[in-house]
Amino acid sequence: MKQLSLWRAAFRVLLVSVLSTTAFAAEREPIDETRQVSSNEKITIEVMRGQVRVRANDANVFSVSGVLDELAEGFELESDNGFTSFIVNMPRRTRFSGNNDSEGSDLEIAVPTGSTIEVKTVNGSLDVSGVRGGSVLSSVNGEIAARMLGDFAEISTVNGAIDSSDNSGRVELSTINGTIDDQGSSGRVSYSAINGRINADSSADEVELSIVNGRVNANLQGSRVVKLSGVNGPIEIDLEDSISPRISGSTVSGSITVHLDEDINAKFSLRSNVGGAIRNGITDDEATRASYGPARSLEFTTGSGVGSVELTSVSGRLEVDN
Amino acid sequence: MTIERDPTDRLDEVISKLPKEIMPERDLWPSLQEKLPSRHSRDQRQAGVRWAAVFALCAVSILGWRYTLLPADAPSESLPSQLDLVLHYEQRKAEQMAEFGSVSASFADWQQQLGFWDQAVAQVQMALDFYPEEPTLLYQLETLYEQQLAYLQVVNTADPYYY
Repeated sequence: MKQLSLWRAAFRVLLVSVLSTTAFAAEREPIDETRQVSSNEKITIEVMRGQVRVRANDANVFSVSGVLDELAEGFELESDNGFTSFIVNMPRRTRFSGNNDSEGSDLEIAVPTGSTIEVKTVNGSLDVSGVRGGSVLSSVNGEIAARMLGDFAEISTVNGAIDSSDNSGRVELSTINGTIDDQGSSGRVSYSAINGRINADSSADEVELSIVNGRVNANLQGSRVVKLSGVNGPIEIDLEDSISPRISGSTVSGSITVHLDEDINAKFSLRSNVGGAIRNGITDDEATRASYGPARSLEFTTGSGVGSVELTSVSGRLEVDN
Repeated sequence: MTIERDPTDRLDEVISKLPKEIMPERDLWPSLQEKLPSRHSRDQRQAGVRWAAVFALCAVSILGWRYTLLPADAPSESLPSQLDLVLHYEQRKAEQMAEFGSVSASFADWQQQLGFWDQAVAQVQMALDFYPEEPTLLYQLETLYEQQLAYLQVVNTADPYYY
């Protein structure tokens, strides 16, 4: 009798397991929709999980194809008067697991080249290229790849990585814990990371870099204005083909190192308030101690002093060389 | 036969017959005297002009001294003090944290993260103990608090069910 009860219990467990597996293995519904839109359409896209690829095309068409999230409760696609919105409806109060190829939507979306797009995801990854009317892309845990975007590109993640290449205009890349890799950006670029790492190779005219605990390695070509802000993490900048740049930077305990052109023409002003080291690899001038307090400062000029390099730290190390 | 004379000769002839001097029909001085300012008020005006000149000279001297002797980045009077900044931002931080509900798992380490900023703020404050009016330090303090508040805003608005 007792043995029979055990068999029944085992059968129940098996039944529940099979039903659960069936539920999780729910089919992902296919989608294939197309709308005629304007050449400068304003498009918003929300896909909670999965993979989303957005490609620009020369036809004035918005299309979405692929499969929807297995947990999706349908989708909304509205297009009217220059505005198009596509949302994959998801149940609320669902704790989603991390990004996985077998979960979530898998969508290919086409938009006009001149459109302005806003794409949001939580655990999804985005891959966007060729949109020239402006892009706002955000993800929490997924990674974002953005290529050849124009006009403006505002890209942000919490934990996901950002892979940016050949973007132009006003480019803003920010993450909290992710890594930012940028190649070939131009125009005006800002990078911001709290714990993540920033690797930049840019020819932007104006560059702004901000880091809290992460680290920055940037190779800049021809940048005229460079602004640096750090807290604990090290910042290392290699600036080429910019003889008289305007560089300003501050850090708390992290270091700032700036490598400059051989024929740099600028006024230098470096100050460490609580005794951080200052190294001058450009001239023989040396840092001097303040008449009172622990501050050290270094001022010198190369050439006729057209540009400016102003760096300050609380206790972090400051270094310039060429 | 008549010869027509030049009109200017005729005019010269008439002018030569006029008297060399002419007296006014009445004494004009009393009416002029009434319209002239008194000597007392004129002295007062001159004194006012002198004081204005002295005042202008002082103002120019003070401004000149300020702009030539003080460094360009000397703190202006409107720059908030360290204490003002700390009080202002700590209050805003407390208000923001009081609004916290359940926090998304993506920000499980938010307190540790705030700790990094707190340490940095403490370092800047230590430097400000030496240089209480150093503008770059005050700006750094403000920037750190702004970063901290922006982070708290992200943590607070992140949907704990979707994130």
